[in-house]
Amino acid sequence: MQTLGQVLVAISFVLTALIVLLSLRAALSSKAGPAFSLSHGTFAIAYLNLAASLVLAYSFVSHDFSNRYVASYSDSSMPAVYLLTAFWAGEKGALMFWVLVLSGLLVSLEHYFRGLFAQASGHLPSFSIKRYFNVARAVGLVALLFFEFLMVFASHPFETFLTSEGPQDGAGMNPLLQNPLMAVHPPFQLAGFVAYTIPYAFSVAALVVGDLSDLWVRIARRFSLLAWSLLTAGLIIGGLWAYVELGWGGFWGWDPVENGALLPWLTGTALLHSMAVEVRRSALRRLNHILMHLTFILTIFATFLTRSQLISSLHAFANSVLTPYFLYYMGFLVMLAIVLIAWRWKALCPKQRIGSLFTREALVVVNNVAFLLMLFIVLWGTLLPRLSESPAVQSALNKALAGFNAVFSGEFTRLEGPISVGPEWFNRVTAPVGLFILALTAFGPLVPYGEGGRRAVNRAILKTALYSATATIGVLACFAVLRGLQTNGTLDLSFGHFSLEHLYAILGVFLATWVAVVAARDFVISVAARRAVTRLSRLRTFCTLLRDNPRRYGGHLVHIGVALCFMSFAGSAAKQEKKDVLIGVGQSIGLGHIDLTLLSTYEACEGSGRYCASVSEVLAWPKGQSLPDSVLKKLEGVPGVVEVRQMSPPWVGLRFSSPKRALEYLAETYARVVLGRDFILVNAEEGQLHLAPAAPEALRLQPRNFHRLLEQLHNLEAWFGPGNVTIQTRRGDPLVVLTFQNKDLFEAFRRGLTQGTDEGVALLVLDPSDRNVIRVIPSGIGTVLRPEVRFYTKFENPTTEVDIWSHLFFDLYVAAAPASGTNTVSVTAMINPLMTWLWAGSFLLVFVGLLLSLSPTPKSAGYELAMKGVAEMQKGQQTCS
Amino acid sequence: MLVDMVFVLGIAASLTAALAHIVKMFGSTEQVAREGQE
Repeated sequence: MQTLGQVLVAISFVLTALIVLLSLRAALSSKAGPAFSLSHGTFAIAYLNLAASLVLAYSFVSHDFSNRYVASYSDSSMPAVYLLTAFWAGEKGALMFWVLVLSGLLVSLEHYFRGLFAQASGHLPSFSIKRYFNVARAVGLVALLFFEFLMVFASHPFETFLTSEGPQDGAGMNPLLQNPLMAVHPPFQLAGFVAYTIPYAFSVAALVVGDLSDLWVRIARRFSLLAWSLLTAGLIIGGLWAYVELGWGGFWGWDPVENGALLPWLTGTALLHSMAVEVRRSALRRLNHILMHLTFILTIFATFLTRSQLISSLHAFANSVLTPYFLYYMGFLVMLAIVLIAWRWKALCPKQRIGSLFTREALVVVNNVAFLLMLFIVLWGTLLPRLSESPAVQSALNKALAGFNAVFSGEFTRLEGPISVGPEWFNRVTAPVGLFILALTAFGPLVPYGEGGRRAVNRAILKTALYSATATIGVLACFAVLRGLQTNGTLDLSFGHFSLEHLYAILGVFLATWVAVVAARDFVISVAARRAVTRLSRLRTFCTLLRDNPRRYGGHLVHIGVALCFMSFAGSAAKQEKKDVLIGVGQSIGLGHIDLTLLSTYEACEGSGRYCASVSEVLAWPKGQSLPDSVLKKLEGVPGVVEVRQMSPPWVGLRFSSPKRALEYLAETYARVVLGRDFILVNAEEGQLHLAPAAPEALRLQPRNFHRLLEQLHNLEAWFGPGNVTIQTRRGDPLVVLTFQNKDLFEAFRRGLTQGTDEGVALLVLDPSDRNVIRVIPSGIGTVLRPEVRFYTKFENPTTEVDIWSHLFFDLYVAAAPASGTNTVSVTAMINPLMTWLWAGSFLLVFVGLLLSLSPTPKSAGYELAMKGVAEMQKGQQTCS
Repeated sequence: MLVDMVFVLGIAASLTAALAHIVKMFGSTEQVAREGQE
């Protein structure tokens, strides 16, 4: 099977090289040359790559460990979904996936051009279109050829073991990657990078052929939007994965590889905005080509960062040999960009000049400058720590700082070692730029293209700003009241320390509201105007608006998504509560308006034995809230109870008629609830209970956890008296023997372990001040979170699995790791405000972006647009002086 | 077994399609070349 894969990759490589040469020959030929006969070659390459990918996927599914890559990234116990995830978990599979997606996109390009050619052939000589197309195909295929070259000569996905048929079982996949989100994050991220190849090919083709019209923008816009949407989805899913998997409570850590993926997103977003200006006003033509080349180079740079280990990163899952190839390729791309753009620089002069700063086109330029500033900040922060490791760079920076200090009387100190740049620096520096972009997003859509209507526009800006300011003040007032409302009914409005983050948060809320108000205003006005004519319902009118002018109204929806995201950022900046404490079972911590109580810790193993976990059960209960009457009534039915009393919630006191009854209840219920969960009763005779651990596999993986199980039993001696219960263990045998002096106590424990009914108790302890009272926490109340620490059989390091309670206005985020050998748990708990808003806003961004780029309806409209571009192309040289 | 069959059929179908396109490509390239000579 692996030989078949190797042959397929080799044929695909040779065929790609051949089609590149034929396409270039056709493009350089004075005759029209073959345009669509070569498209069969692209189709053949795509099918060959599909077949090779299927061979690789089949190797994973059939556990063919003769393949080195399969043996390194999977094992026979992995579930099917992770076997497919393993396809792109490493460098070789990522290359195969890249090649597969790119060849699929090149097929869609062939289809697009066939349609366009059919439309254009009646209007103008097909020669220029054919030439254009041949160059675009060649560029796309060269990009493909590079990755096929890497597969064939540097990092072959079908490499086998030379001396044997491979190991019996594979090494398995890094536990951090064994998460359903990791099944979708890399494909979206990689597809986003790959998809930028298509608009890039159009840009290069336009510059090579000398087509200085807007045709490339008109065609490439949809592909750029597709790439942007996929990239956005990749970034967001990556953030979500970091949030639920890494256990530090955030979604963006300014990790070098995260930053690398953000760089093309920043230029890609700027590109989408300036492309719209070029289509409307034939302006920003040079900027569009520059941004397109920059975006494409940055996608390669991001891949290079991921694979090169240039900067130590969370994503350093692979030790790569590809570094020099990527450097050469990037060098080539930079040179090509400089040469092509310089060559056509004069000819790319704007057809219409931007007259005033108060026009949409001018604001887009300002917006793009802000995006490029953000790019520079992120790039600087990412590369500086690595660059400053070099003594030469340190010396140069020291000279610059000394010069600055001398001229401006500054107080910068000399650098003695590498500079370290943390997330705080990024947050502090990017926040003002982000808010500036948000401000432009707010009032930018109100400003028209060209000049005119200045007074009406000013009025609209002022009006929407006032609405938003009022709404912001209202929201902040409600927030202050809710925050200050004490449990005893009084109101405390003292604000505490007011920091720069609070100012950013207030500004963020105001600007995000403004963005949403402006978008909603346009929807309201447009729906009303259209309804006056059509008399359709509001919802149908809204849908027809989206259908008829998807760019304008889709853009508004995307802006609303951005507003939701910024609301979430503002929430995080203003108020994030965190506690990091060590607590025992039954102890509580207060976090904001919630009390967290540790109910239990226990060991559990996954069915197929891939891992075992130490699970902590944490009850979240609103501070001070009484328990419902139904719960108390149920506890009144417990035999022997004379009184049920609400204590400090969620605790309830059960008063029994005598201490003897109370202890019997405690013994039986404790045996059922706690012992029955951790142990299996092996033998019960002559006052002795022989207990074996319920999850012996977990103790085999982590033997020290047996001490924690024993620690839990030490309560028994305190409650029932040291002489009444004796706990014994045997060396080398995880068996616990409980010896009872009291026959009733022995019977109560035995009953608890073998029979009895669920009385709705999650935890119980003896009241230290009154031996008639047993304090219990009822089961089935509040929200129980179950964070875990997992120990995988094939990996040394444990992984943290957090549990999150998502609410509309906040997330309760809990990570818990039982301390080794003791009965305490290290709990990290956070309240992260408005996190669901971030995911909802991001979903809107991606959904609308994909809908606009993939919707089938505008296909004919797309050709129509392109046809306008073709007409422009004919007169392009004439209008540009 | 079913999984094996699905993959084998998928690989076979992709290879057939690739071969068909290679044949078509060379066929139509020759045709274009002939037309050019005429």
